[in-house]
Amino acid sequence: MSSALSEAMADLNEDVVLSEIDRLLGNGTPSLEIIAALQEGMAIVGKRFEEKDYYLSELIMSAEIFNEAGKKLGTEATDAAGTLGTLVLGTVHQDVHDIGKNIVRSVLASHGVKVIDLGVDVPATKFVEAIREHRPAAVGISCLLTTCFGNVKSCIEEIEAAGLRDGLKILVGGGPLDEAAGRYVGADLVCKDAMIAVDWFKTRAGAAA
Amino acid sequence: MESFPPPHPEFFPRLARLKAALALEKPDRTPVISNSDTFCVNHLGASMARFSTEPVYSAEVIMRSFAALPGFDATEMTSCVPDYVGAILMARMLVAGRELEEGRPYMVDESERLSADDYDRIVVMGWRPFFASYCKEKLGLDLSEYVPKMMAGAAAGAKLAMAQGLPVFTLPVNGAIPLEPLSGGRSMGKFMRDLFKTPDRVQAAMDVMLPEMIAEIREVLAFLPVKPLTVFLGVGRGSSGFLSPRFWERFVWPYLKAVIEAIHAEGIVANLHFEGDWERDLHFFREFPKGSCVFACEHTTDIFKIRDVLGDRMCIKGDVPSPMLAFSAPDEVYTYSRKLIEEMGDGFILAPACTMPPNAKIENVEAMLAAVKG
Repeated sequence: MSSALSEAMADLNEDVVLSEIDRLLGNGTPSLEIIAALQEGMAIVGKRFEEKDYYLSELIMSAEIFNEAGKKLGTEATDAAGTLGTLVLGTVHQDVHDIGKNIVRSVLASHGVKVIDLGVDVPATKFVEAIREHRPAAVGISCLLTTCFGNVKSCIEEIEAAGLRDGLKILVGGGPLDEAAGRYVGADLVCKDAMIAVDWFKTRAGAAA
Repeated sequence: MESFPPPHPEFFPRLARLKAALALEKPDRTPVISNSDTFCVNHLGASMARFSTEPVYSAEVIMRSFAALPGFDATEMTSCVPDYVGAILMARMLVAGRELEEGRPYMVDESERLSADDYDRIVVMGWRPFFASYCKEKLGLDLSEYVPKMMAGAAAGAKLAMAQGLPVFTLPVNGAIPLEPLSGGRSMGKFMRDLFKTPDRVQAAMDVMLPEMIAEIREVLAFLPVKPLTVFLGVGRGSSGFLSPRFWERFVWPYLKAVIEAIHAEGIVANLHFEGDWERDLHFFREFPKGSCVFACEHTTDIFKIRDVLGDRMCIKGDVPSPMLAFSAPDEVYTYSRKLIEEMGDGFILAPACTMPPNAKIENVEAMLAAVKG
């Protein structure tokens, strides 16, 4: 594994990350090994975020660099690197905000979670269909509008009515969505930032190992 | 000679209450105010489509809502102009009757519309000419048509507010600091990348924007017959939680400080409507003269930490959370409001965190109003 690549990723040095990937690919290093080095760097980013050495600006930039790296390595390799599990993600019906959701998508993907992004204004039926198809470990529902909290609640109820709730973790997030709102909608975990979701996936993977 | 009607008997006592809180003096009781917009539509069963597109209608609806819920000491604003709110974030607003069905509150379309080359265009063209052409080409908004409609709404709202003895708390003008419109237009991922990869290019645009944004505030103030109580500065993406110190101290603080000082130079209090987490950088705001700002937080920053750092320097406004107003029982709203009133001190104004949520329960609004009476 390339420690230079991990360090460059952790330090958000995009130019070094991309040139190091070129060098490693030129040496015949397998893509999955390169992704593992990138994810080691991402783990350091996550640690620095938790310790408040890094902020959202660095978290977003790390995901941007990871996306660029992924373009060099191909979707097959990045998909195969989704070893922590699968997340079905979307912004709830009647809400079109996508910035927070996109940050979550990028950050989780770069930490080894396979993300199925359903987009914005997603009706409950689409969440149900995606859960049936992809059998995710968790569903992430984003909501920025207090007027749509009821839609989050009914979406979770529809998932339950479809018999898909058992063993499925429901994560929610979005500006005004606090713990009380999380209880109101029936979520399992309120994510005030993307790293809370990453930690949940890592803890789950650790427990399963 | 034109004769003026006598002022509403409640107007001056309310104004005195607000001024005392802003000056960190002891008011006769804690003032309570609200920035109510789409809440008023639901409260009265009005048309969201008309409210979102007709500023004068929005002013009438807002003031009817305040009249039907007596007890507030001020309305934060006088009318609702979603297209302009979107424009100052360089974003398109989706509104009922146009992109959304009747009854749905307006929301921002967060798509990327500003290119990296636009930073250079701002430098070449100047901010205001660029902004006018951007609004027309990218947002479909002709400012020469829209601004007079917006001003008519503000004037109608101010007149109606005055007639019912309700002071107007704040004056919104523009996007406060250059970072807000730029990050809105670029979209978050692209803007963060710009800060990392081409910071000088971003700063060059910001340096052109700042004096023009300050000039705009001065021009609007000069146009008004009376000084507003406060000037509204809305900042969210420039919060401490979004940006690491090296970015915040380069792209937020110098610009924010300059705008706040320009407002102070006009003898007006700066209304710091700050969304997100500001805890790390609260101490920066201690340098402003006592009583020259009001720190309005929307519950993400712990209001008691704001009090501990800034309570002896500036008035604090907030922060009954939106979910609480929408979903909790009145007892919970009353208890939280009383806790704020008892623990925040004299320089405090009770208000919803951010705007009154569109689906706030009427009995919860009444519980908030009851709390200031003890």
